[in-house]
Formats: sequence, C-alpha cells, structure tokens
Amino acid sequence: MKARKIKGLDPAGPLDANARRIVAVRAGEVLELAGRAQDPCEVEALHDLRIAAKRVRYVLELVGPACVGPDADAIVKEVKGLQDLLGEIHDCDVQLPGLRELARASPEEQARGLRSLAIHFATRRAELFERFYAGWPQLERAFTSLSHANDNGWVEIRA
Amino acid sequence: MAKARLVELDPDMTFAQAAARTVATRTDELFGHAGGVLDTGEIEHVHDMRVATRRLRAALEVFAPCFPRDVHREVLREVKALADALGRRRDPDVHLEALLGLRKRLPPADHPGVDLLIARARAQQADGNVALREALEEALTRDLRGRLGELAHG
Repeated sequence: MKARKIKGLDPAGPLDANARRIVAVRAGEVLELAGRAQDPCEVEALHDLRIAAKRVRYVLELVGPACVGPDADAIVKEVKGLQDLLGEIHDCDVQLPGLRELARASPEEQARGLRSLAIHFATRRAELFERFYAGWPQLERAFTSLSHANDNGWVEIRA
Repeated sequence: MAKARLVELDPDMTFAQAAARTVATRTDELFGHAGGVLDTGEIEHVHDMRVATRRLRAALEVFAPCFPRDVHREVLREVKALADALGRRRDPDVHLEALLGLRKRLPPADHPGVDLLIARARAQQADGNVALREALEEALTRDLRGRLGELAHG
C-alpha cells in the first residue's frame, strides 16, 4: 500500500508543525484501513494495516518525544505490539498455502509433518487474530488521538 | 536488537535541521552494524543491520521534502536494495529458528516433513548470504555512506 503524499510540508518551517502534519495523516491512514481488517478473511487488509501502523511507529520514533508529547514512547510500544501481531498473522498467511500444497505433493512420510505444521500455523493464526480483534478498540482510540495531532497541542493518550 | 541512538531534536528547530541531524546519525548507525553480517552463526548481526536500514529508510522518507529530489531518490533506492538483501538473509534465519523449535515439540513421525523445510530454509539462507555480500560490495563501490553524508550535510 502506497503512503499518501503529504501536502504543505515546509523544510524551513518548525519541526513541530511538520511532524504533527505527518503523524495526523499517517494515523488517519491506519483508521481508514482498520474497518476491513476486522474480518479475519481480509488477508490483504490486515497486511496493509500492518504497513500503515509501521509508518506511524517510525514517524513517532523519529519525532514523537519532541513533537507529540510525553506519551509518545508509550504509543510507540503499543503500535509495535500491533505491528508484531499483524506481522505474525501475515507470516502464517504467507506460509499456509505453500505448506498445504507441498503436503499434497509429498510422499506420506513427509506429508504427515507438513500437515502438522499447517495445523499449527492455522491455529496460531486464529489465536493471533482474536488478540488483534480484542485489543483493537484501545488502539483505535490512540490512533484517533494521533489523527488530530495537527490541530491540538500535545497528544494525550489514555490507556 | 540494538537500541537506536538518541537524536536530540528540538520542536523549534527547522524540519531541514532535524532531517540533517537524523539522517547523519542513522547513517553512522547503519554502517556501524556492517561488521560480521555475513556470519551465519551469528544471526543477530544481520538483524541489527536490517533494523538500522529500516530506521534510516524511515528518516529518508519522513524528511524527503528536505533533500534534493534526484539525489534523495537515488540513495533511498540504494538503501532499499540493501534492506531487501538483508531481508533475504534474515527471513530464512528466522524461519530456520522457528522450524528447529517446532521440530523439538513434534513427534518423531513428523520430523521428515519438518526436515524438508529446514533443508529449504538452509539453502535460502546460503543464497541470501550471497545476495547480501553483493549488496554490501555495491554499497561500498558506490560510496553509499559518503553520499548519505553529503545528503545530510547539504
């Protein structure tokens, strides 16, 4: 998923104003993608959400403490947790089809272990999605606050 | 994972000043991790260097408007190429570690299937190491570090 181009950034302007503008746009991108990602079958939406969350995290790591406020480090930690979760879901989504195909094409001696691995990844994927789904409302509040970074003072995030 | 070096940024400094300071620090960090990355027995070196490329890439993307477009585009492309090569080595490292862990938990009758995947991951790791060596040589030949330094210092 391509990142949206951010208009109005000014190299000669203060870091603070530019950083807030970037944070607001990137957080808005996360919120736009999140709706579709609540469906466990929406593999691509979950992947895109991970990429969008990663962009927010990187901006916050770069400019957060100076421009977003004292909650920046805590938000970075939350976003990293989300990114790790979605990353592991993506790994399962990438591995499962190939694994199933290989199991079908392999002699029984090897197919048995490959099937066991496929079951392991499918079970793990379901567990990870449940964790994502349960934890999303809290993260949504954090991203919503960040999406207003451009018009407020320091962003306050309530856990 | 190596912790990112702190870049002292002030909200009142200009966006361009913050860009220069951040890119200079992240560049030093990246090339500071280059030692030992081709050693498949010490997989954390690759991980640290990959994380450093991600941080540098993020800085180059966030601060893009602060740099001359052509030079920026070229160095960003080269940093991405280096990151891709690090990924080609790192992904099988991680996969291999996970498979070895799973093998221990599965019954012996499942091992032949897992061993098939372990052999594939080892082959990908070797291929990834060749690609990484070539990418590091390319970065050296094209003086990527020097050009990033010039970009940061205008």
